[in-house]
Order: sequence, then C-alpha cells, then structure tokens
Amino acid sequence: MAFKRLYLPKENIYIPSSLKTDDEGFTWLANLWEITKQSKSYSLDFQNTNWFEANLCAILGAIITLRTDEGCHFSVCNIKSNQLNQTLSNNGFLSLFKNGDRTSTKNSSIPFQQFDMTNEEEVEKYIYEHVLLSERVPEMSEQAKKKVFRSIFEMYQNSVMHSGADNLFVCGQFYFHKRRMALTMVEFGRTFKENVARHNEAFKDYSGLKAIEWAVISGNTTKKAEETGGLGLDLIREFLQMNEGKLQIRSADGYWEEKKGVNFAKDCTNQFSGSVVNIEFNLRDENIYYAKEEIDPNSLF
Amino acid sequence: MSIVRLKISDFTRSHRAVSAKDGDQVYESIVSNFEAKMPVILDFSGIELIITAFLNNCIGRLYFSYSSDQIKELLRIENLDPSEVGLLKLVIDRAKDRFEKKYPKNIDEIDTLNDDPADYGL
Repeated sequence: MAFKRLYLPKENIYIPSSLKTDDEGFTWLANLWEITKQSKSYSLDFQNTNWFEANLCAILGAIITLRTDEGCHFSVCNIKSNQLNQTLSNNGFLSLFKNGDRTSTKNSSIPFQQFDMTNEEEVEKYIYEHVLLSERVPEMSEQAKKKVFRSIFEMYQNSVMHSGADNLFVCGQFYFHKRRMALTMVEFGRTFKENVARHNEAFKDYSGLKAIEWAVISGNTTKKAEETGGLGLDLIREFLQMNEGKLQIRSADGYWEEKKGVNFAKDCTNQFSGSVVNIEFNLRDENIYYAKEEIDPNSLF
Repeated sequence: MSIVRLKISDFTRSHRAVSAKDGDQVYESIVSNFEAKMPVILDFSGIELIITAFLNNCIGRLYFSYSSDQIKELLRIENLDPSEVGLLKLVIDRAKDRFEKKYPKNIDEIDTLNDDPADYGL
C-alpha cells in the first residue's frame, strides 16, 4: 500500500545569533509560537547562532511538540558549533527531529522533557534524577539543596493548580563556569493575566505585567475563598534572595524578574500564550538556612 | 474514643509531600473523621521534604470550616521533621489570618437587624 506524502510549504526560520534567558529571548520565542500557527514545514536554521542557552530548549521544544501535534513539521539545520550540537544532543532536544542527533542524554545537562500534568510522580523522579546530583554540587549545603528542591516543587505545583494545561515542558542547564543552574518550565495554559482577571472583577483590566506583580506579592492567591495559598512564590523569592539566584516569569504580555532581590519588569510588545518560569540557582551556596524549630507543632493550632 | 492515625507517606507514596492533590486526599480523610468526632493523628514519619502547596491543602483549608479550638482538640501532628515545623507555622498563621473573623470594636452598638453589615466592614 502506497502512502501519499503530504506536501507542506517550507519555510526557513533563523534562530537569532544569541538567544538568552531574558526578556528578548522570551519575546522571540513568543513570536515563534505565533508565526508557526500555519501547518507548514519549518526548518530551524542555526547558521547565525553563536550563543544559545540550553535551558530555553524547554520553550523551543514545547513549541515544536505542540505545533507538530497540530500538523506542522520541523527540522534543524546548520548547527555549526560542535559545542552547541553536543549540548542540544546531550539534553535530548535534537531527538525531537527526524534529522537530529539521537545521542542519549548525558549527565552534563538536565534533559528536555514533556510531562503530563497529572503524572506528578514522573516530575518528582525527574527532579531527583537530574537536578543537584551531589557530584556536581559538592559545595552546596544540604539545607540549600532542600530549599532548591522545595522551590522547584512549589513552582511546579503552581503550574498544576493554576494553568489548566495538559502538559508541562522542562529543561535545565548547569553553567559550570558560573557555578549556576537554570531550570525552565513552560506551559501553554491560562496565563497569570487570565487567572488574576478571573479571580476578581476589579483586576479584569490588569496588564500581563500587573497581574504577575500582583501574584508575586506575599499572601496574594487566586485560589477559592475557602482555600489557602500565596506562600509558595514568596518562599522561593526569599530563598533566591539569600542564594543570590534569579527568578524570571514571562506570561501573556508581561515580563518580570528578580535577581539578588532587585526587580526588573516590563510590558512586552507581544503575547505569550502561556507562562514561562525560569529559576536560576547559585550552586556555591553554603549558607545554613534554618535552625531546627524546638517548638511543638501541636502548639501551633 | 479511638484515634485514627493517617500516615502521610501512605498518601504520597514517597519520602516527600510535594503534591497539592495528595494534600486534598489527606484533607478529605481528616474531615470525614472530624465529622464522626474521631480525633486524627497526622503521622509524618519518613517524610523528608514538604511544600506549602501540600500543607495548605491538607491543613490550611481546615481553618475555613473549623475553629482553632476544634482543630486543637481533634488533630495531632507526630514525627514531623523539626526542620519543617517553620513551614507548618507559616501555613497555619496564614490560614488563621485569612479566615479569622474580624469584628468591629463597636459591635455592641450596631443594630444588627436594620443596619447594612457592609457599613461596618462585615
């Protein structure tokens, strides 16, 4: 039986010379989601690319996966640098393409992976298998590691509870020379803007940025009146300030970041149809974070 | 009166309590026992890592339906890692703050039959 080959018009998309985890990088990727709406064959051309931060594979891989499900076809070409080719191969990104390298993931990276939001155990396993393996972060205190894990799980649960998306895409990278680790999570569900507007009529005209700014304030939560929340992001921010790490959020037309306790935020020119969260941890963290509480937990009620 | 022991690891099936959904299941179990006037022990033995999303859903929510006194009477925490007590305190303080009824100081002067409660912030 012969199969008909479906003809798709082909288009080259040039990856920028430098794609970083910042507002410009997120804006370019938000735009990529928009321009790949039509069922076409797209070739991602890396010929101009000198710098590509591998944790951004979470977003690029999410776009490719979701658009492929909608009938698009993607290929890659002209990855000139061996180092970039190796990085994208090691984290499993290139295995998304028929013409890509299928080298198995190596422990120098935190692999690109898609998770079903209902399969929480898989995420738990992934985080413990790939993040903060002791041989990579020998100087990090156990308390600091625990805070890192807690931050990641709190962030993941925020996506589960608030996005309504079916899938979460994750990818990370160890930047050994800077002794930092970045972990990017992305979903194409309800944005911060949509959730905050739904929560309160008074917030319906909030911009994407204003919605993020509202959500990161301690105690603010879009959960129902009979539920409690609004602590997770607060704890992450508090820890990252001590850790000298960084938190970045891009959702709808808002971009917000906090680095070493200093904020930078802006209204973006395009919409991101979901939410991206990037957490960057400082792996040189030897802080002792808490003394054990001597109080009886039953006295807290 | 018999006491029901709920082992957290039986709900989470791991050494971690990092899922809001698991917190919901623990909450349902606590409430069904509370309704039967059965005291509950939450046993955290073997749990090494907890997040607020779990604690909010299993303990924080209780303050919407039950008073502090009721919870004190019916709920007991055991084997919680001392390094996680601070997290539990945060969650309980936040829940009390969210659900605590704030009555105006002049409550006795209010005509509760004829006045609009909104005028008094109620």
